[in-house]
Amino acid sequence: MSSDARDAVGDYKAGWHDPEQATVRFDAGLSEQVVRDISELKGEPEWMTDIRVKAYHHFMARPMPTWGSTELLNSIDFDKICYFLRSGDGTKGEWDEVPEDIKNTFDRLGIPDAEKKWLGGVTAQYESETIYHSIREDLESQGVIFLDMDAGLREYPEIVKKYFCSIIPYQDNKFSALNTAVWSGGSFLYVPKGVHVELPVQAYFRINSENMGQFERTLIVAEEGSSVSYIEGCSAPTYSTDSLHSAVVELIAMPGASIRYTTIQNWSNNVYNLVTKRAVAHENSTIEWVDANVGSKLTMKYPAIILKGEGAHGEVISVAYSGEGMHQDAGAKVHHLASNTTSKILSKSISKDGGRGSYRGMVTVSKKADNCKVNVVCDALILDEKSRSDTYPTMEIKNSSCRCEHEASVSKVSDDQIFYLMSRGHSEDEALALIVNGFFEPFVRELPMEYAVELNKLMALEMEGSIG
Amino acid sequence: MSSEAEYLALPAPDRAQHLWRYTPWHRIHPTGKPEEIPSEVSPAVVSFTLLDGSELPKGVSISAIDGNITRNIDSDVGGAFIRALSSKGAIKITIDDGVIIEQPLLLTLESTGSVSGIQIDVSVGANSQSELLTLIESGADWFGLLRLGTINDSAIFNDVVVNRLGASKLLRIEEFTLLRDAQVKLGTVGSGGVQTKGDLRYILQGRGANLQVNGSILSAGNQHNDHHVEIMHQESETFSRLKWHSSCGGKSRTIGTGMLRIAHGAKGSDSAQVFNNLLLSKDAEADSIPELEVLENEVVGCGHGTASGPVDEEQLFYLKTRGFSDTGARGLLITAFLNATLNEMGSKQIHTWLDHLISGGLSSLS
Repeated sequence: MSSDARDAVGDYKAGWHDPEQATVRFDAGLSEQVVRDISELKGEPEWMTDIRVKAYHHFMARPMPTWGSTELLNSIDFDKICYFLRSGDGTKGEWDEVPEDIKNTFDRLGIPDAEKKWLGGVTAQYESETIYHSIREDLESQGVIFLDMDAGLREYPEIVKKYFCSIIPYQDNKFSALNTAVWSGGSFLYVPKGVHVELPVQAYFRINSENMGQFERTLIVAEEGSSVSYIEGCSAPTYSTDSLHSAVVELIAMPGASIRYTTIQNWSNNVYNLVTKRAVAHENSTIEWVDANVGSKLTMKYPAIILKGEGAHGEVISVAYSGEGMHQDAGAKVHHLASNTTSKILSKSISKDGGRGSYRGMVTVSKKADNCKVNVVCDALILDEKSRSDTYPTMEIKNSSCRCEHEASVSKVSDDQIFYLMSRGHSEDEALALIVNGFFEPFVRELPMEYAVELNKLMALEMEGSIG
Repeated sequence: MSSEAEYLALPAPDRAQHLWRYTPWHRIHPTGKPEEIPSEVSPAVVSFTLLDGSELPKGVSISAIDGNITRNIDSDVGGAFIRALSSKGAIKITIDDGVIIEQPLLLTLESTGSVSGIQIDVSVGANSQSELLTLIESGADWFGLLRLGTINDSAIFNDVVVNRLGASKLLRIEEFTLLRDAQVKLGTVGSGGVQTKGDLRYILQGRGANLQVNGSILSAGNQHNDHHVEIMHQESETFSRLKWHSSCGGKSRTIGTGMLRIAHGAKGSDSAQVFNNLLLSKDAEADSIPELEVLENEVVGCGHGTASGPVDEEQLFYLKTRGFSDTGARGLLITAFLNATLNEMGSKQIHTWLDHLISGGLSSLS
């Protein structure tokens, strides 16, 4: 990376970019023809083309949300975004076959190394499509299907057709419509009945080009009694113009199944991250969203769980860091539709250098859902006088046997805590980093060790120079 | 522009705003047609005495005023509508500087006809000490109350509004501004009315202002009680607490939405809000949206909480082992729950009076 590039990137370690080597690049702007061209290029079945076109028209007709960061939302210029860019010539099964520049990028992000050491499978997406994909042989032999979504549609159309848009219809919101119209890449993960995937599988999403739109689509189905842990990471170069990331993620946990979906979102601060994530939990199943948002210009993301089967359990654990020019509008939604369902939401956020952190959540308990338990905790730290923190929780309780608790607090780092740590020999920056790591600790302990260490380092870097 | 024209010029409120999420404007409007302003409006019958019925003491006055009272907010549809209805029905209550009144003041508003409304401007003088109990009695099918208040420097003021309407709808819009070192307790007791929409806003504008807002809502039958409470800390060293307890029986629905906003520069603010809901029947509903917007990092604390649940079975079991019937034990626990906020409303005199009122309403719960 040149020194100019380093200056532009600043503290953001993943902010370099490679020269663009597109084999297919669509002109900027969105039209029905663009949608049809994407579908044709991928050789998709007619039903998928139809749903894309319907979603496109819904996107065009639907107004922008009138809540959240409306100013930033309205500043998105959809005509300047490139909706499809292919780099390389298809998905490879060996890292050595991946084009050199792209391989170097993922090397620097540590993906091949992580795969060797502790992952059950890896998908790496570069711009619009997956460039590398692998799964351990023992998982494959047990019937686990882990493919990029395009391959999933080609090879298992009946499963994809059954579940695609079943949890998040394209009419759900403006950005789920956009994603459905122009989706490309993402993961398709199917875990057969009774299979426990011991090692996590990982997807890494990288935007490299300027004014790029990335619209991956992920579908995970865990059959009865199975379990799986999926981790996704993401990053992008730092440009002076904006990019758009708008994903849709659908999870289905059949009776007794368990899915943990972990996200480490570290987009550069020129990326709009507008994501719809929703899961359905059947009888006695468990869904966990573990969600870290430490990058992007604007994030609007509220992982949701529909507790449909009796005894189902849902958890959302999230942290958000809002630095200069960033607005993290994140939260969680849990809908209790069945009896004896339980849920827990833990949200932690830090605002610094004029950043804005917002928790926006919703819990509903339906009339027929007896004996449900809900616990929601939101904590926020504001580190300086330029920053801001908001909490917008909604609780709708329609059943009298439900026990529902919510608490939130906003505070600053106490001078006493800083003083104590400095008296034990730490500098001010170290003291602050320790306090922040302690604040995030309930989240970090849910991460695999490698991610936890990286997140702690990242937060320590962000805290440098925060005091004085 | 006339009051009517001012109202008609406003756009319909957006349900994306939490203020109108659960009770859209057309639902609380007297005819259900927001473009209509009823032509026949009966004035409220006002009586203002001390709690024991005796005459007002020196330093307290009530008078009719010309013109309207206005809140300083954009698109105040509710306020504009009440102004359009009651442009000749505005009164001013004044408590002079330094006046200390031992006994609570009782303001009774009796509505008549099918639609009724009133505007009240409350001015509480500096260094005064007083309590105001406002009773909204049954009569009209629809009643609108618009209050604006200023609590001057170092005044100590307790204010309680009691909704005792019958099968009526109530729209209550108010804004109180607290100046330097003012100490204010504002209470809401709701046991009447078939549908209530409250939009209550309190501004801590003076350094050291201290505000406690308490709600004690007893819902039964098909009642719909929707209260939106906003507290804005605009100055440093300000303090606020909001405690809102609602018990919901029958097929009733209670809604508590709150906004606690700490402005940039309001250093040393200390604030908290809690919404608690006791669900007493399988068809009752409780919704809460306690929101926070904090733009200042030098705060003592800023938090909120909400809890919803049924009567605690262990507490019920304990009381039954001590000889209470199931109904008696439940009644005691519900009274205790509502008393937790009633106790905080003003003097013992007011509390005793309110306690009696609430106990009488418990039989309506099922």
